[in-house]
Amino acid sequence: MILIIGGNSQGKLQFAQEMLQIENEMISDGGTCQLEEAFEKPLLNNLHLLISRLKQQGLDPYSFIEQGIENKPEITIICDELGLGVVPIDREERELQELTGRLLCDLARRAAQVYRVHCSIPVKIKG
Amino acid sequence: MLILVTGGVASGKSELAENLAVSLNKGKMLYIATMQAEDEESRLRVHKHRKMREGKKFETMEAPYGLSAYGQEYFTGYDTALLECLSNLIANEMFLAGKSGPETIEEVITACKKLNRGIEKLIIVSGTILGGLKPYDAFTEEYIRVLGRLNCLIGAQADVVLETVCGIPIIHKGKDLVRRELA
Repeated sequence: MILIIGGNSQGKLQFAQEMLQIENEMISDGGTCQLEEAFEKPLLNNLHLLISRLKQQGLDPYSFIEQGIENKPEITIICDELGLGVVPIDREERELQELTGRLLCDLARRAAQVYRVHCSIPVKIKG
Repeated sequence: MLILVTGGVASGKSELAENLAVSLNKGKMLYIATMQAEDEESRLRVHKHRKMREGKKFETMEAPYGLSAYGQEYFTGYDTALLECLSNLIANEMFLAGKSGPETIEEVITACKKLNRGIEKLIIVSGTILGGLKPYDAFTEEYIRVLGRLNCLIGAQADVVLETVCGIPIIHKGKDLVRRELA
């Protein structure tokens, strides 16, 4: 598994597409895809939106994502670093920020490579 | 040696800072806790952090604000100290103690100097807020400015500046001083 993180609109998706040499139809969008199809394509974009949707539906994001990676160990995952923002006043949003951060720590531990994209520049921070 | 550990929310900075303190320490260790636990959520957080520290042999001192008023003797006799964390301390100084931005900066810098004088290895954990589009209220805007300013002031004086990203340490300054400990 390859993990690509960074702030929003930093060029993460473009970097991933160039690195993997894949077209748009090979990408799942965590914000809009069918939940069961999230881990079926080589690239999963917007993991933070998927986490939010899973949480809203009362599903456990940890086990859902773990299962997904087990089924597709070669997947590349893109996620926004929500933890770079202000701690939200709203409790739900606050939990989502915390959950996404902890999940990313877990995923980074398991990933073969981790890239952080900043102003379009990818920096490999693991692997 | 002064070490600044920054990182976003839930980016693994506390765990990294604690492990770094344990591996650098050659004497007694002090843990300065700044969270004032007034509601269930904060109490849970404090409990989680205490659990994480168990067995690491820290002596804990609770100081939600006003750290500069403590006598130098409080910070003497320790080899290593961990201040956890600056983001909380700043919020407490501004919100609980009612200090202005500039007063908070002065208070925190005075406290850090005092700590740094008495303690061989001082590790300061702080947050990073890299903005966002939402217009915040004046208080939050000022808080973000003070946090950024203090991170810059401390970072400039620090021997080591680290940032944690998803649990991975990025060394911005002083690589040689912590390379072995982070390996």
